Amino acid sequence: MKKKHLIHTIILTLLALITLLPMLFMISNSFMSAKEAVNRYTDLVTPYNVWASEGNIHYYEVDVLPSYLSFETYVKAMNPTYLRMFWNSVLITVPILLGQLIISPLAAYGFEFITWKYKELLFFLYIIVMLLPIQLLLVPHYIAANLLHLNDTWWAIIIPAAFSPFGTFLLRQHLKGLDTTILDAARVEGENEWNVFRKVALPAMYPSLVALFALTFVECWNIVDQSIVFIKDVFNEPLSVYLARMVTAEPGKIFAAATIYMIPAILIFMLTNEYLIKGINLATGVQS
Amino acid sequence: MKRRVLISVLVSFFLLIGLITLVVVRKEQDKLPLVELDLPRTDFLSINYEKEAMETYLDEMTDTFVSLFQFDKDEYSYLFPVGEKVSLEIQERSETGLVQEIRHEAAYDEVLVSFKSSLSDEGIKNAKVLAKFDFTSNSLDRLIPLEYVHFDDVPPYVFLLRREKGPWGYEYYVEHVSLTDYISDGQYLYPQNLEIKHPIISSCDEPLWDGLKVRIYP
Repeated sequence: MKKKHLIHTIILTLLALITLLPMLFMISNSFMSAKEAVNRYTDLVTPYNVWASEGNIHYYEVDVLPSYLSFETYVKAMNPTYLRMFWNSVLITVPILLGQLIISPLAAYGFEFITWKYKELLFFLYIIVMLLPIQLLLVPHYIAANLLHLNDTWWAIIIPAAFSPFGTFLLRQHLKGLDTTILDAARVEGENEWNVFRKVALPAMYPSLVALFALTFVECWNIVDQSIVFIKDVFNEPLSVYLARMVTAEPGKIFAAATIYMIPAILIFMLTNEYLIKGINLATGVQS
Repeated sequence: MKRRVLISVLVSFFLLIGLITLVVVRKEQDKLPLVELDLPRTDFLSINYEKEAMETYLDEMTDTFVSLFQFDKDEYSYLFPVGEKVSLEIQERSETGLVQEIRHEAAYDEVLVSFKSSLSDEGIKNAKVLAKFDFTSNSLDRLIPLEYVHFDDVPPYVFLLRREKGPWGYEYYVEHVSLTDYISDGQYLYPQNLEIKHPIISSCDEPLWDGLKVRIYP
């Protein structure tokens, strides 16, 4: 039994290391100088990487550690364009998060506890929309944004994302496990529906709300497709799109730029880690 | 406790990025050369010009006198288009001539002006023939004050200021514009085939060149 446990531990540790390797590689390589990054990871043949060339073939010299420690790329990455894109990402993510955290609990409560005609049919449509790939939804979103003159503005991304059905689905699944007698008790005590939602259902949804917050943050922070379709002005693009541009335009800075970009997501994950698992478990019925 | 620390770190991270943004954007602006601007003026162009003929001879075929004026390339030969009337002064007598032909040579332009005169053939040959040009334009709206024009190169040039959208608002770039075809009256320069879409850079403490990023007085 002990031996089996040890084997499991070794296999899982190895898998965890494989998963973490790209991130570790990125962080460690962010401490190399811009020149070294260019010499190692681009096709450009320079006097410093000519040994890695054979005829027309140029090899990348992948290494986990830089030749010498440097913070140069961090300083260089913090240029006005990068910083603008960073704040673009923040300004796109925050309204989506606020929208999701306001709309989803209300919609979930309405679907679960309020009786109205066709609610199951509408919820079924919600699920259908949720299951469709985002690339498919971009076409109707684009047409709607065009009609509303929202193209080339962040609102074209923010509005559909704030009304994303995933949050409603997640929270409704959580509410399904909630003991309705608590809600009835509140009603008997004379509380109106808004107070029942605010004082009973909302606190009960807290773990799932935190999970929704974390998942929505990661999704919005890494938004790419919507931005490519809706945003024409390069200076309005989020950092996720700009990073892809940096790979070819400024390869020396890419590791540092990506490391800074990753920090908020890691901090949010660390902050919500406990509730993330609990919230998803509650919503999926693993834990009642 | 752990959550409080993490929230503090998260908030501090965003505050730090905010502070870095302020410093970087400000620093980036401060290191740019500062320029002053002016707009093209709307005014009249007034040119009084005299040119002495190189030689005058009698064209026996047409029985008219022909004066040959030689203009350097940067002179006003374009003020005498073919078919235009020209005021001439021949031995303190006023005559009217007609521009017959313009010959473009490598180093200069030759303008041939024909006229009739009661003077004798010999008299004309020794006379001083002056072509006079008194020109006051209509109101022109693309006049560049001569002090903003740089004559240290051929053709002369002027620096304009182009505006482009940048990550933190508008960015300003120098545009070098050569002035190949122009009229000047000593005060203004009027570019003939050039549309001036941007303001003119009137002064800058540092050397300028095409594409240089600069900042302006607010």
